[in-house]
Amino acid sequence: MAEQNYSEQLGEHLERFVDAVIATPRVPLPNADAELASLARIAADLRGLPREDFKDRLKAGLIRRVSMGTGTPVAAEKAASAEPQDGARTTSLPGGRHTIAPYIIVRRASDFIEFLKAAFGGTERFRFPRPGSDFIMHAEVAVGNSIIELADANEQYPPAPQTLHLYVPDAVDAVYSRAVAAGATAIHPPADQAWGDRMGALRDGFGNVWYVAMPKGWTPGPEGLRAIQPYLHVRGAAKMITFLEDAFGAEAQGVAKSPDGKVLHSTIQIGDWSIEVDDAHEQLEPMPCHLHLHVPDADALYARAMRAGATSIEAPTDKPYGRSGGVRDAFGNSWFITTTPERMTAQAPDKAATNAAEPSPRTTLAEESETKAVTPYLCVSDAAAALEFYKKAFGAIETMRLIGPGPKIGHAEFRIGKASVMLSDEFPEFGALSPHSVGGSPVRLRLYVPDVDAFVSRAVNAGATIVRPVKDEFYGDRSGQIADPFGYTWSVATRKEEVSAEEMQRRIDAMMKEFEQESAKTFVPRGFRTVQPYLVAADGPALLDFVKDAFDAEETCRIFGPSGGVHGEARIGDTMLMLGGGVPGQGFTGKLKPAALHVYVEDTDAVYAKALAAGATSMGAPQDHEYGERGAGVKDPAGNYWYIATHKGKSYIPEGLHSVNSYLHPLRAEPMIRFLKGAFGAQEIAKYASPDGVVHHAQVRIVDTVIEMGEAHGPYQPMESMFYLYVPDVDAVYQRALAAGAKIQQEPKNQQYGDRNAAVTDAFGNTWYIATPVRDAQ
Amino acid sequence: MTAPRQEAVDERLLIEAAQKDPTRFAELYECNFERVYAYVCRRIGNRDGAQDVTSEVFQQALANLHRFEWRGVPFTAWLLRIAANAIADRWRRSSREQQPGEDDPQPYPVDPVNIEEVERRAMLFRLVATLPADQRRVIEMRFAEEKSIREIAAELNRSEGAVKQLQFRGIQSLRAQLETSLGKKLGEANG
Repeated sequence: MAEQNYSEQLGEHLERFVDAVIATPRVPLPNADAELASLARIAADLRGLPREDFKDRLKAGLIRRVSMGTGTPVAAEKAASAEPQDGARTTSLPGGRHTIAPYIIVRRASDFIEFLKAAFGGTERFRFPRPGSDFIMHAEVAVGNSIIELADANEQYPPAPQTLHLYVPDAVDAVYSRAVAAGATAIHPPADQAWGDRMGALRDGFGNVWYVAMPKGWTPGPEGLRAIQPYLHVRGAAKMITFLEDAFGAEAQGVAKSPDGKVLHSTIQIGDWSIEVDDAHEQLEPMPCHLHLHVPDADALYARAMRAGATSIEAPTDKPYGRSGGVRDAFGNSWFITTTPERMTAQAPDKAATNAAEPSPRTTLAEESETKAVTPYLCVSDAAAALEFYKKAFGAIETMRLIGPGPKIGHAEFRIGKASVMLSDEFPEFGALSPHSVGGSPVRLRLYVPDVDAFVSRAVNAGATIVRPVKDEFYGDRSGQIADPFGYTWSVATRKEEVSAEEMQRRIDAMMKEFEQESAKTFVPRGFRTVQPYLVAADGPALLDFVKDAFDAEETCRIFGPSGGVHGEARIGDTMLMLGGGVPGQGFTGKLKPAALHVYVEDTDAVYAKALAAGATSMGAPQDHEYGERGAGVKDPAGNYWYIATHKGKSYIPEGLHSVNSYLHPLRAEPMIRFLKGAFGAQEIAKYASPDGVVHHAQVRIVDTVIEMGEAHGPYQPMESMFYLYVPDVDAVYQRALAAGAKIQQEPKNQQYGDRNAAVTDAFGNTWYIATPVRDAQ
Repeated sequence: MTAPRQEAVDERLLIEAAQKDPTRFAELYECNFERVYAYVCRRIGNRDGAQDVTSEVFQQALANLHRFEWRGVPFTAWLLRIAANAIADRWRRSSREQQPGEDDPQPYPVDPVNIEEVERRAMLFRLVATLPADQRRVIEMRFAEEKSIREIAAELNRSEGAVKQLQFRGIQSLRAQLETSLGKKLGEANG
């Protein structure tokens, strides 16, 4: 009974907490009762529990998206590799145009324009009436990011309505109602569709069928929604798709077929736009229509379409609006193919915003590009932000900005002083990728400015980072390098003195000589590298024997000291190891220094077996790893970890690595890397981190030696290891190590074995011997 | 570094399959939906926002899957990075909307990912489906549909006391199952 009460009470208290936690996050957990606290924690974590239907709808949307082919990996890759000179592919069309526009021929075209405005919020771009009448020869209406081209019917071109798939971002029901109010007839009202759209169907007063849809449970990709896609119901859709591929270089994306081979739905991409094609049936009869393709080379595409079996309407000729021709496919549809000169589209009314304060630089910039200068064309991950940055950082003046396709900036131009730069957002679907996507830019931009120091400091204040500080260069410039937040490096300079080529050569020679003298100081003994791991074991001789037995190491030195210790050196492949420690029965009291080592061998399995036979215990049997290595792990009797690996590649040792590589397992990699950089001038050469900052693997190089590390996890915990470094100037490096946070273990002193050395301990407990040979060792 | 990582290998196969055939993305989605959602909903207070961001994450992941390169970093980490960016963008946008004319986007809170927390919540979300039907219904109505005890009682035609008890028992069984599941996972990791 008491238990019953307790449970009821708990239930009450829990509900009070649940009530609070649903209303507002971060309610403190009740702490009066441990049982209640632990249940409350579960309740707090349940806050925001996803709705089951959301998970399912999103999934349906993703699947639908794959079948619609918008932004699928396959599509993007195909787009990136498509040949641009052939087919209808294009990098970008100015003037807000896309590759495909429906060309709708109606009676009462001016009424149709009014309908598009009232029903779908269309905006009239322009109309060309026949002089002295209201007969429209050609008009264009933008709906969302699409352009509908239309004309009044005449004897040659009778009315040709079509089926159009219209996407609106939201409120599809309201759009549907507006269209009905504007005179359209309902076919079926909006309803949620299995593929993740809410969609209704209408027929307008001009014979066109509209599928009015909004995405539900999916969101469009970065290219945005395609407002209008022509929808072709044809008999023999599969053949139609083949024709489109052959004639226009179309990409079929996600073709859904019924078991008997009928095309239920397909999305066909041509250039930057798409149409939908399926097999006609009783309710969906074919409506042969006109489509307008805007392409870079009308002649080439016309020829290609003819080769693919189209019949000619008219070969391309120069028209007032561009070079244009037309073909008809076997299904009765007409395809007009037009190349519009850029200058004409630039004048067409569109969303382009130009800086009114500046005279239009269009022609001068074009002339400049053609005659004098190579104009850099930057592709960035966020063009709008980049423009703002360049204005703020470099005092750039924006001279042109064109929006589209989609909401992105398709093209922009700006000036820095007299220099011109072009820029666009990235369009992965056309192979236009920014440095953020491809991992940097190999091209450096060089800019001459009146005052490099002031320029760089302004840029840095605006968010640029210094790559190389400003300094006087031998060739007469004062120059520095900065990186902008968008992945480009700018080399900025001010000319200080005119230097002749002879003088430059003389200065280079002098610098080279100095450099050679510097590097001629051989301070690393033959056969060694800058950094050697130094393993210290209780039984030093046994460790030396182990590396010989397990890894076929070649022992080059074994010295027994007066105080009962041993120092040994042994080579595995191209790497010299230092090993030492105590000798059994001699009462060794020094600190043991085990280490983790990554050993590359020709045959992991064989070496693994030998290591076990030599007394090691297994940490993991040989297996193939996803990073391209076959690897195994053993722990030797002295406690060292040996990661035995065979790289799958040209050599069993990966390029840049050594036979034996020290592997650190710090709790946090960043401070370790920072220390190695600060103390020993290490360079970071690779780092793989998850977004929460866990560094799974990193490599740094100290002069000629790579040190690997991965943050501690599982059995791979930090070890207090020891290293022996050869440096040109022990005292200087010792001071740097201290400045980087190391603690003194031994101040620099000359040793009888020929080195002047010092020892420091880093914050992770590793000991670093820093040495410069002062005379040949005995 | 030699510890078995079967899970990672399986995941890699799934990713490669989806890179070749985008329809296979559904499997990656099934494996990762709860994780992404758990991460996002902790950082975006309201449900609509969390749903928007979660959608965006998977749309972007699908569109950029061909760019995903296996480097031993789990796919989840990649998704969560996309999520972190999406959340950051959202913050920037909202701060820009609130302060028109402001040149610099407001700094947004940087919230480091706690993988254990994400895993724990994702697992909890998944475990709800394994509850007995009446407990599950109450937990879903209460936490996913955010209905009050009174509304649930009315809808299910039960007393408020009974609904509270179902909620209590549901949370109790979730706690027990979570401990078992997490324990098992921990055991696998160490074994």
